[in-house]
Amino acid sequence: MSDRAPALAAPWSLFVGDLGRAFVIVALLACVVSAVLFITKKNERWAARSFTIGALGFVGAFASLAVLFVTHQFQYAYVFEHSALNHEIQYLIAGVWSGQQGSFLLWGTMSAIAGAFAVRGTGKYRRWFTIVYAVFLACIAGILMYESPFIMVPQSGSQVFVPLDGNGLSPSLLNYWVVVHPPTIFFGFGTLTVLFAYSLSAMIERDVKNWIPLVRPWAVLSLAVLGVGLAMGGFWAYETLGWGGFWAWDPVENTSFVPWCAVIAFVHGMFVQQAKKKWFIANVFFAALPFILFCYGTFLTRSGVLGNSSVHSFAQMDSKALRLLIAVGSVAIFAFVGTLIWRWSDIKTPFMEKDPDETLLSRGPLYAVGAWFLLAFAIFTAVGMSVPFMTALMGRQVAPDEGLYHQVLVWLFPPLMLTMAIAPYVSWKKQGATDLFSKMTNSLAVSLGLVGFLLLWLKSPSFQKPPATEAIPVKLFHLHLPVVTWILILTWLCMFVAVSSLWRFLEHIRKSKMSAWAMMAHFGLALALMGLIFSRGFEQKVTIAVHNKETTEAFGRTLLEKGQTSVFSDRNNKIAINVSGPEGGYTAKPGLYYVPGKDKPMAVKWPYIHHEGLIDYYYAIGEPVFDATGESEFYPKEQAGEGHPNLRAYKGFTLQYESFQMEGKMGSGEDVTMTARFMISDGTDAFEVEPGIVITKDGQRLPILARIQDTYTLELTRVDPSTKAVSLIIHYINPAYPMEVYFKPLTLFVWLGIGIMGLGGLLAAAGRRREARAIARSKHGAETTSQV
Amino acid sequence: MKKSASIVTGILTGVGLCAVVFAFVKNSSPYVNVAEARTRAGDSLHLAGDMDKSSLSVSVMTHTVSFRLTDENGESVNVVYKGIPPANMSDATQVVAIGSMKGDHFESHKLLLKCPSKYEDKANNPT
Repeated sequence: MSDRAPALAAPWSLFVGDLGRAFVIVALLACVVSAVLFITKKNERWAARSFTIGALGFVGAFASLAVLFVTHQFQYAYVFEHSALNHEIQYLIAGVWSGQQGSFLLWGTMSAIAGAFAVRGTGKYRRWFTIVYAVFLACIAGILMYESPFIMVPQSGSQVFVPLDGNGLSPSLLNYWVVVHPPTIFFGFGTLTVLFAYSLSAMIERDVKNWIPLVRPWAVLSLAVLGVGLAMGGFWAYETLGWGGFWAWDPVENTSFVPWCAVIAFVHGMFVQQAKKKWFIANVFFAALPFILFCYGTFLTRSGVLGNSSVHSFAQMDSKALRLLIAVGSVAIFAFVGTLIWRWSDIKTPFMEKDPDETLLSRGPLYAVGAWFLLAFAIFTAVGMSVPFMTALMGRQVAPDEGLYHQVLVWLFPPLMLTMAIAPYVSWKKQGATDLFSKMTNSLAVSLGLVGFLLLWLKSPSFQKPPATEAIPVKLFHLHLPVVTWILILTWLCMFVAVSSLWRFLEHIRKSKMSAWAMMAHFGLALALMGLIFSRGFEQKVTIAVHNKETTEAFGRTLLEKGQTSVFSDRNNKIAINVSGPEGGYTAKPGLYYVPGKDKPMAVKWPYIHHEGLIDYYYAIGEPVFDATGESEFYPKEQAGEGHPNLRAYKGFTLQYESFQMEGKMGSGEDVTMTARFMISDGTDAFEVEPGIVITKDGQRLPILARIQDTYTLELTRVDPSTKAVSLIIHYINPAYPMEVYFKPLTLFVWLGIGIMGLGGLLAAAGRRREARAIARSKHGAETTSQV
Repeated sequence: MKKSASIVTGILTGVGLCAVVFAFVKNSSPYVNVAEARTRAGDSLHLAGDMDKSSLSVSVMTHTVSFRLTDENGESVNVVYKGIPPANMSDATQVVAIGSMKGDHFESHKLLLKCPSKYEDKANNPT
C-alpha cells in the first residue's frame, strides 16, 4: 500500500460531490417554494410538485453520498472519517449514516420519503400538511448546508488528491445491525414528522374530527416500525456489545422509547375518538407529542449535558448543529402551542356529559385509562433521562440507575397490563362485572396454569437455582417481596395479556381482521415483555477463566479452551471453547481480535450465545491473561503464623515454602543467585521446584522461572535476604481467558414476541391504509360520506 | 362542574409529576470524589477519576481487576472491580467506577471507561 502515491481525484467524483450539494440546495429551495405557493394559494399544482421535487432532492443527496462511499472518495472529509478500503459493501453503505452529518441526512431523507407518500392521502388537509412538512424539510436542508457531508479534506494546492485510505468505522460497529438498525429507526422517526404535520394541519383547518382515518395508517406504521427499530437496538446490544442485556434505560435508548410510548397512546386515543366522538384535542396533542419528545431526546443525548451517564460514547454535536436542533425543537413546540391557542375557539368541543350507557368497565374508559398510563410511562421515562440535566443546572452531577427506572415505572406496569388483558373482552356498551368476569375466566385460568408450569420448570434441576445473594427483596407498598415471587407476578401479568390476546385473536380472525391484527401485536408485545422480565429476573452470571490445560465449571458444564480459530489480527477470529454438559457438548466461539490502536493494539470482543431450548447461555470473553495469581508472600517455616503464611493452596495443589539459598555476596562484583525451594503437592504427587533471581555483577535482575507441569511457571518477584521472606507470582504458560457466562431463561420469547408484534403492526397498518384509501376514494365521489 | 374537575385534574397531574421528578432526583446515584465516597452511603456511588495504568492488575483467580484511581482533588483510592476487565481497560485514562467503599478500597460493580481511541480522536471535522 505504501508504494501507492495519493492519486488525483477523478473529475466525475468531484461532480458527484457538487451534485450532492446541489441536491441539498434544490431540496431547500423546492420546499420553500412549495410552502410559499401553498400559503399564498397561488398555484397549488406547482406547490404539490415542488414538494415532491424537494423530497427527491433529499433522496438525490443521499444517493450522491452513497456513491462517494461505495467508490472510496476519501477526498471528502466525511467519507474519510467513516469509511475504509477494507470495508465490505454493506459497511460502505452503513458509513453514510454513521456520523453526525449523515444522521441528519438520513433523518431528512427518511422524513422526505414518508412525507412524499403520506401527502397523497391527506385529502382536505393537504395544503397545511404540506406547508408544515415543507418548512420542516427546509430546516433540515438548511442544517445540511452548514453540516454538509460533502466537504473536502483540506488540500494544499489547487489539485484535489485522494487520501490513500480512510479512518474506517469503529470496529465495534462492524456487524449487520449497523446496516439495518439505523434506517429502520430513522424511518420510524420520519413517520413522527407525518403525525406532527397532520396534527398542526388538523388544527389549522379547524377540523379535528375527520383526520383520524387518514392519519391512522401512519400512526400504526410508526408504531410498528419504531417498535421493531427499538427491538433491533436491543438485539444489537445483546448480541454484539456484550453488555449481557437487551435494555439498560440508557438515554439513547430512551430517546426512541419515549416517543414510541406516546405513539401508542395516540393509536389508542384514536379509537376513543372514532367510537365515542370525543378526545379531539387530546388526539391532536398525542399526535404532535412524539415528534417533540424525539427532538428533546436528541437534544439531551447530543448536547453533552448527560456527560458520563451514558454507556454510549456518542460524539457531542458541535454547537452550531446543536443550536439548529434546539431551534427546530423549539419551533415545533411553539408552532404546536401557538396553533392550539390560535385555533382554540374553533376546535374546542363542549364538555361531554357522561354517556349513561358507559361504566368504568366499558371499552371507552379503558382505552382512556390505557392511553393516559402510556403517556405517563413516556413522561416518567423522560423525567428519568432528564435528571442529570436538571441536577446539572443545580450544580450537582447524578445519574439515575437502571434499578431506579424499574422502581418508578413498576407503579404503572401492573395497571397497564391488567387494562391490556381486560380491554379486549369489554364492549363499548354497558356491561356488568360478573358478565365480564365469566368471559375472562378462561384466560385467567389458562394464564395461571401456564405460570404454574413455569414454576415447576423453575424448581426442576435443569434450571439453575437463583443464588442467595441475588435475592434482593423488592420494595413495593412497604412489602418486601423476594425476587422469585415478584418476577413470577410480573410474568403472570404478561402471560395473562398473552393468553387473552391470543384468545381474542383466534375469535376475531374470521370476523374482523383489523381487531385480529391488533390482538396479534398485543400478543407479541406481551410475549416479548415476558421474555425480557423473566430472562432478566432469573438471569445468573458466573465469572470464570478458561484455559487449555485446566477445565472450569459453569452451570454444571465443563469448559476447556481449544485455541483460536485464526490469528488475532483477523476480524473473524474466535476463541474455541469446548463445553460439555449433561445435554451433550458444543463449541462456544466468542470472538476476540485486535485492531491497531493509538499506542497499542485495541481488543474487540463479541459474545457467543448458545440457544438451548428456551434458555440462552451467553459467553462474554475477556483479553488473555498470563498471571494466574497476584503476587503472594511466603514466610519461612519458623516465622509462619497468622498473616505470615508458609503454605498456600492454589486450585488443585499446595505450595509450601521450604528453604532459601543464596550464592555469592552482594557488592562483591560477582553474580548473586538467590533461590527459594518450594514443595508442591497435588494430593497424589509431591515434587520440589526452585525459582530464583540472579543479580548480575552489572546490577541486572534475571528471573529463574520454575515450571509446574506444563501449565504454570513460578516467578520469584521479591526476596528479603534478611528475613528470608519471598514473594512469587504464578504465571500461565498458555494464557487464560477471563469469561462471564450468563444463564438466561426464556430469552427466545423476546425474539419471537418482537417478530409477532412487528408483523401484527404492519398488517394492521396495511389494513388501515386500505380503509383510508376507501374513504379518500368515496370522498372524491361524493365528498360527504364521513360528514354524515 | 367542568371547571372544577379540570382544575382538580390539573393539580393532581402537577403533584404526580413533581413526585416523579422528586423520586428520580432523590434516588439517583451521585457523582462523588474520594473524600465523599468515604463518607456517603449508597452502593451505586459514581466515583470519577484518572486511572493509574501502572497499578492495573487483573487476577483470574479471584476474578478481580484492581487499579488506583485519582480524583480531581488529587486524592487516590484503590478500586477493586469484580468481573472480567471491560474491553480496552488498559487504554482507558478516565474511569467512572460505580460502587461503594468497602473498608480501605472502593468496590465497583460497573466501570464506565473513556478511551481515547483513534476513532474518537478525529471525530471532529478536519475543516
